[in-house]
Amino acid sequence: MNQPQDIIAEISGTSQSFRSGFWMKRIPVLHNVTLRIPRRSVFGFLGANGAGKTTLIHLLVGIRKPFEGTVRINGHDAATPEARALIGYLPERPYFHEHLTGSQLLRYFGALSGMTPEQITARIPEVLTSVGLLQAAGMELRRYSKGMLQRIGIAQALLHNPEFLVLDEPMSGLDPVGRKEIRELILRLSHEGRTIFFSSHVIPDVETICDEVALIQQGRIITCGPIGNFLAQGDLTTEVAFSGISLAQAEKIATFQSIREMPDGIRATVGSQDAVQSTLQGLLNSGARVLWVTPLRPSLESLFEKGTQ
Amino acid sequence: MKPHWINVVRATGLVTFREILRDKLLYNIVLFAILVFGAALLAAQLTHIQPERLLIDLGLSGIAISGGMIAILAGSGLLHREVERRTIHLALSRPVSRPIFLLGKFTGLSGIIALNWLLLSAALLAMTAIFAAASGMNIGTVIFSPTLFLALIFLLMQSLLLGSMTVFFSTFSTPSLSVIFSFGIYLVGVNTAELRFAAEKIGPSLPASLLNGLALVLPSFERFAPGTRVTYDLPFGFQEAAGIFIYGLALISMFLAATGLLIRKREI
Repeated sequence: MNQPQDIIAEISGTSQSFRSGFWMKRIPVLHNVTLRIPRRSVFGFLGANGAGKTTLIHLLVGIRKPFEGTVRINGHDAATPEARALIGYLPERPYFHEHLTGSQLLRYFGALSGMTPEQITARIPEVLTSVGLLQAAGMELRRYSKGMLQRIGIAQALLHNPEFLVLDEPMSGLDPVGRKEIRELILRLSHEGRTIFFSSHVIPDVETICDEVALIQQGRIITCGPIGNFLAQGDLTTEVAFSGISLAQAEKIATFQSIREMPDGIRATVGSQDAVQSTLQGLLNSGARVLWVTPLRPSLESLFEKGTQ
Repeated sequence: MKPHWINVVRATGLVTFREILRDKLLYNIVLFAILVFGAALLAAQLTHIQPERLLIDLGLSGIAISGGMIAILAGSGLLHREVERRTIHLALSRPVSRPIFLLGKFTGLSGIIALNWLLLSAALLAMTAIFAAASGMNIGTVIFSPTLFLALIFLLMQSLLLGSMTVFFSTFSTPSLSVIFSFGIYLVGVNTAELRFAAEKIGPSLPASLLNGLALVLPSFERFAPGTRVTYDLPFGFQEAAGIFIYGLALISMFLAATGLLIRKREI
C-alpha cells in the first residue's frame, strides 16, 4: 500500500454528469470514481471509447469541477491555480492555433503558465530538443505532421517543467514509428522522475511502459493497481513446441489446453506448471524432439476482456 | 515583474490578434470600407455645397459600418472557435482563470478593431486633405477639427461596445444567433430617440411604457453617432463628450463582467 506522501493525485468518490437535451437533463458520465496515482509512476488508464477517460482527465487537470467528490493534486484542489501549475497536459488529438510557429506556441503557453519571458526563451530550445523538433521551431503548425503535432503537444506540456504529466491518448493516430518515438519519450520522461498518467485504449502500449494500471468501463473503475498484480492474476500456461511425432501420438501423451500442427512441428499449450514436467517426460519418452518451452503470461488484453465482460 | 494576469491577457490577446488578422473576412470588410470611401469621393465631386462635409460624412459611415461588422462577425466566433477546436482546454489547464482568458481574447479583438479604425481614419483624413487641397480649401480647417476627432473616437468606442456585446451573447448562444442578437440590438439602439418619440405619441399606456423601458435598458448607440455634428462642425461640450466616453466604458465593462460570470458556469 502506498504511503500518503507517495501519492501525487487523488480522486475520491468522484461523480460527473453533463447537461444534455432541451430540458438540460443531467447524463451521468462518471460514477463514484476513486483512484490514487503514486508519485514517479507511469500510470496507464485503460478504457474503451466513451468509457469516461477524457472526462476524468478534465477533472484531473482542473478544466472541470466534479459534480460530487474531490480531485486533489499534491494536496491542492485540482481546479486551483496551485494544482494546475504542477500539471503538464496533452489533450487527445491536440489542435493548436495553426497560424503560430512551434516557438510562438511555446511562448504563448509559457506565458499562461506564469513563466517570465527570459525563462521561456531559455526553456524553448531545451524542450524542443527533447522532443526532436528544434529544426521545426520556426515552422507554422499548419505544416506539421500528426507526429510532429503530438510532439509539440508534449513540448508545451513539458515547458514549465511540471512534476505531473497527463497525456490523453498520446499515441492515437500515429504510425508505428511515431508510436515508438512517443513511447520512448514517455519512458525517458519517467526516468527524469516525473509522474506520467496516460490514457489509452491500445493495450500493448500500456503493457510496455506502465507501472500502474486502472481500467474504466461505463464511468466506473473496474480494477486498479500495479501492472505486475494484473499479470500475475491470470492462469499461467506454458507453450511446448516439438517435432518427431504425429498429432495423434501427442494427444495420447498428455491433455493439452490447445494443440495445433505447424510446418516445423507441433505447438501445444499446457495448462498448469505441474503438468509441464510430466508432459515433457512423456514427449521425450515417445521420441519427440522438444523445440522450445515458453511460459505464457496472461496479456493485459485478456484481463481487459475479462474485466469488461 | 508584471502580475501573471497581465501576461495572460497580453499573450492571449496577441494570439487572438494574429488569428483574426489571418481571417480573409477582415480584408473583405476593409475592402468594403474602401469602396465606401471611393463612393464618398465620387459623391463629393458631384456636389457644389460643402463637398468636403459629404466626403467626411460618408467616410465616417464607412468606418462605423466596417468597425461594427468586424466587431460582430469576429466577436461572435471568438469563444466558439476556441471551444470547437478545444484549444480552450489547453489554455484553461494552466493556472489561468476563465474571465482573464476571456479578457485576453477581447483584448485581441479590440486590437483588430483599433487597427482597422486607425488605418481607415488615417485614410479618410488623407483623402479629405488631398480633396481639400485640390479644391483650393484650407486643409487645416477641414481636417483638424475637434468635433471630427471626437466623432472618430466615439466610433471606435461604438465598435468596442458592439464587440463586447457580441462576445457576451456568444457565451450562451451560437455564433449566428450572437450576430442576430447584436445586430438587432444595434438597430434598436441607434433608434432609441424614435422609441421615445413613439411612446410620447401613443400616450400613457402599457405599450408606451414598454417602448420607454426598451429605450432605457438597451444600449443607446445613438450617442456614439456623429450625426449632423460633424456635418456642421458643431463642437462637443466637455461634459457631453466625457459623458459619452464614460457611458461607453461603463457598458463595455458591464458586458465583459457579465460574460466573465457566465463563462465561469459554462460547460466547455
